[in-house]
Amino acid sequence: MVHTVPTTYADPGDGLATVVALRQLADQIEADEVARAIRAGWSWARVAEALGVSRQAVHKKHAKRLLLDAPRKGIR
Amino acid sequence: MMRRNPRSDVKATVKQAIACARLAGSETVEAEHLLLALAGKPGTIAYAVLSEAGLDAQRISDALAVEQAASLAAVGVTALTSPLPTYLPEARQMGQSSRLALTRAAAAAKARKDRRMRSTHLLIGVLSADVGRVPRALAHAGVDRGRMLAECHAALDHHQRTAS
Repeated sequence: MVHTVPTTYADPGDGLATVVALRQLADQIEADEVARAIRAGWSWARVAEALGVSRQAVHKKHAKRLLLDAPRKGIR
Repeated sequence: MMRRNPRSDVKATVKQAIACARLAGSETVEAEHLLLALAGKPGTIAYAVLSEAGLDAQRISDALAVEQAASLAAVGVTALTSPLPTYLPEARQMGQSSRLALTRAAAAAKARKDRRMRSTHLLIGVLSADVGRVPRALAHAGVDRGRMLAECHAALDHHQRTAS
């Protein structure tokens, strides 16, 4: 088993804070990249497959904001 | 300073926190957004306590960014995110940290036998967390949480005395 995370956190709070920060970063990257993919003409099914989630899940999470953004960013 | 309707005071703060969450690119309203909202609302005890500690909305935002960068750096991640999110989500629900802050605010009001929850209680609720983003960010900013809590209680004591 390969450990890629440091095991020398002074406090469990430090490690847990890293988890929170990584989740926030992942959410931000996901939001940006899904928007980019849809703008580039990817189907929701393809985006979902790339993310490893169901089409329904990705649509539920992102469709509303992307459709709201449509007039501004040219998403249809 | 004290003539505001306390209930609308809290309501307005929560409303502002929803806006802060949206600007921060968060889908949930968290305790740090309540703190940002309190820091952006002059004329309240909470604002005075935060100002006294040198905390305005910008400094809190900076401290949160430093906290996030430090937490990511611990696993060798240098975030290349822009300071402003590229999309603004609808902050649809209260996150667990803000729910806890509200619960603690209500508990503080009850324990003090204050009839109504006001924004000062909200700040007490937010500052009462020992773990999570807010205490970590405040520690990065070199701010004494305990002292701010004491100042909140002292201000409420003063208000209680002058009101009775």
